[in-house]
Amino acid sequence: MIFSRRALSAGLATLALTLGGHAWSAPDAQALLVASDAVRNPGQPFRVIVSLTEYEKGQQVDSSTLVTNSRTLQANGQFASLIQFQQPARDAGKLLLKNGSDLWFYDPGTKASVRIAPQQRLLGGASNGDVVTVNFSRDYKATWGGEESITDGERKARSSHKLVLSQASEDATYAAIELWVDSATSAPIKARLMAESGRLLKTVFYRRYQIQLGASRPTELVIIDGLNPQAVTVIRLSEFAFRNIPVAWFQRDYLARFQPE
Amino acid sequence: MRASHRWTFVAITVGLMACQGLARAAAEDDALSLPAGNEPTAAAPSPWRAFGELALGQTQQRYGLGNQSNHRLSLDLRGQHKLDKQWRTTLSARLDALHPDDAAISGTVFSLREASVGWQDAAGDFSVDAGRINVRYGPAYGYNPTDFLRRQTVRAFTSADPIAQRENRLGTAMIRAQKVWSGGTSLSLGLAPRLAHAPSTDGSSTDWGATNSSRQALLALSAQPSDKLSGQALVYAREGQSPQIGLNGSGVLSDSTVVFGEWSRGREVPLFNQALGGAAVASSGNRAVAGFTWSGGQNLAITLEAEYNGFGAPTAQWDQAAAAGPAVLGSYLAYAQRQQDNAARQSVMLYASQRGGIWKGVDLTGLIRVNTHDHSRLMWLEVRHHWQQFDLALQWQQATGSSLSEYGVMPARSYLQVAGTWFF
Repeated sequence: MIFSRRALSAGLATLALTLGGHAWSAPDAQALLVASDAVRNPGQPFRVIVSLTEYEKGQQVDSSTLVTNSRTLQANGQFASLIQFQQPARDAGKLLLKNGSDLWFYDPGTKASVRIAPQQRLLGGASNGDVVTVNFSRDYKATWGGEESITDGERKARSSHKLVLSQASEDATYAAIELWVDSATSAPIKARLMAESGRLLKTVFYRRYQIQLGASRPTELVIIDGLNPQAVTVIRLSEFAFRNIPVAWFQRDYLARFQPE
Repeated sequence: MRASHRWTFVAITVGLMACQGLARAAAEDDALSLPAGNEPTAAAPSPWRAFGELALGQTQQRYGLGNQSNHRLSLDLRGQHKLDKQWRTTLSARLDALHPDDAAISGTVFSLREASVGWQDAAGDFSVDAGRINVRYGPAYGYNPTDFLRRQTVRAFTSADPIAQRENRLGTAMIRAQKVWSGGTSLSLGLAPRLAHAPSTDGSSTDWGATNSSRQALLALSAQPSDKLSGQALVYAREGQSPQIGLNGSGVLSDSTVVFGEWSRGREVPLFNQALGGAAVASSGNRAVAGFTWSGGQNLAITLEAEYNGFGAPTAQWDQAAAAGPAVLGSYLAYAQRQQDNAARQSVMLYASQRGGIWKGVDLTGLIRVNTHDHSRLMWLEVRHHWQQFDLALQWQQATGSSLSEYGVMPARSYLQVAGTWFF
């Protein structure tokens, strides 16, 4: 019995050392975030078709289709996005330009380029931040939150690193993010997007991974409203393609001339 | 707190958190079972947009004219066709069959808004366009002092909504070159010839006289000192008139607020004299507008702007026109509308919109314009339900004020209209 107690003590000490040693060598959270960004976003200018389907209480209430053109700009390494509305027909041809805090909405009907506030929504349930390309590692500082087994977007258990992201740039759309990335591949699995007050704004699941532009990338995002979980937007990403996107596209005065490749 | 109560409190808290967690997990599970919708079929959108609109309404009139039914059928087409990587053509036109007829234009009104050909270099930094081109400057919603090419550009007034009026405006025939640099800087020069002497009253006319009755030049320099601030400086010259200058800018004040302003200065004959044939003596004056747009929850956006037109009728002249009767004041107001100018020296406009914020698929839009001299006001409200290819809108407008005020003198006291729009 005494031996057993000694053995138990030794075992606990070993476990404590193991855990302590593990905590000491916690993964580099920022490196995991960079790797996760690389899974979501190709490293070259690209175009992707974005289809949004909105649900309320399980019933489809709206849908839209956009074309997102993205590339990094030299100034800060963050992506700039030029989004063209395709569907519904009434919005076809309208453009949304996002380059940091520089957000413009262009309507070919009125020939007007209107500056919009980051908070202004143009897409119903989804915010502008949900359809533009963003490198989280440029706008957030990550800390490691531990290893967790979570349910992924396909309802399967996945071993993951939890990353806690805090706002590091004023261009960040959200005050804080909890992000779970795959333990082996750093592929994003789930994110909880928070307001400054700590209120949950949205939960996002990244799912339907497919080989796109040379890597396995999520092709569907399920966005669940934090306040009303019955309000769900499913975003499908398709027709990824590398494009030679000129820098000139990403400014207000080019919008009237924009025509997709 | 006694120990037993503390434990009860802890147990209830833990229980509530567990319930919340279970409810959230259940909601997430439900959400993950939803399909992603149909796969989009075409990467390249059609370069053409077209819609047809039928509007039926009833107008309540002043001056004992009773009620009047009105209807409108409109066909609208616009498109940009890319010939190759560097060449493109643009065509934009509209037909409005109005009942009753517009007093100034007879028959079905044709508006050739744009017809141009354009070229740009391989990098897209330099471009040249020639033809009828719709060039519009100014970030304000209701009044744009730096939109120097706005005069007589709207042939058919179909709504009090300034955004709808912009959709109908004609471009100006010109050749225009633009150079853009990275960082938001650009320079453009447009040169417009004289093609006719006066606007046409023929509904089917391309109406070059409305937009090109004299030679014009417009130089615009855009700059963006930071990603939160941008501005434009403009110089406009028109045959027979002193050059005018203008500045406009907009900036992000916070995550929810954008501020904007416009100012222009030049020498012109006062609007009242232009309209009613008074002394054609030009004097210096300013036009300005300042405002902000605030975005709130549920997709609500509210814009408030203060507008000033130094060429609008001053108080004494306004009172003089009012004393001469509604016909004189009405002529002045109609002229100001055709010039896309403000008749009043000072006005305030509130514009609010909510896109699907309360009911999915339903947009609410409204505006109030107030003449701060005579306190008359114009209110316009729209409820619009949209489906994938069809919109149904209910629009209401009311003009209130004393009998010889800007909005009180309008024959139409109020109207109610239903409009259906089919997008092809």
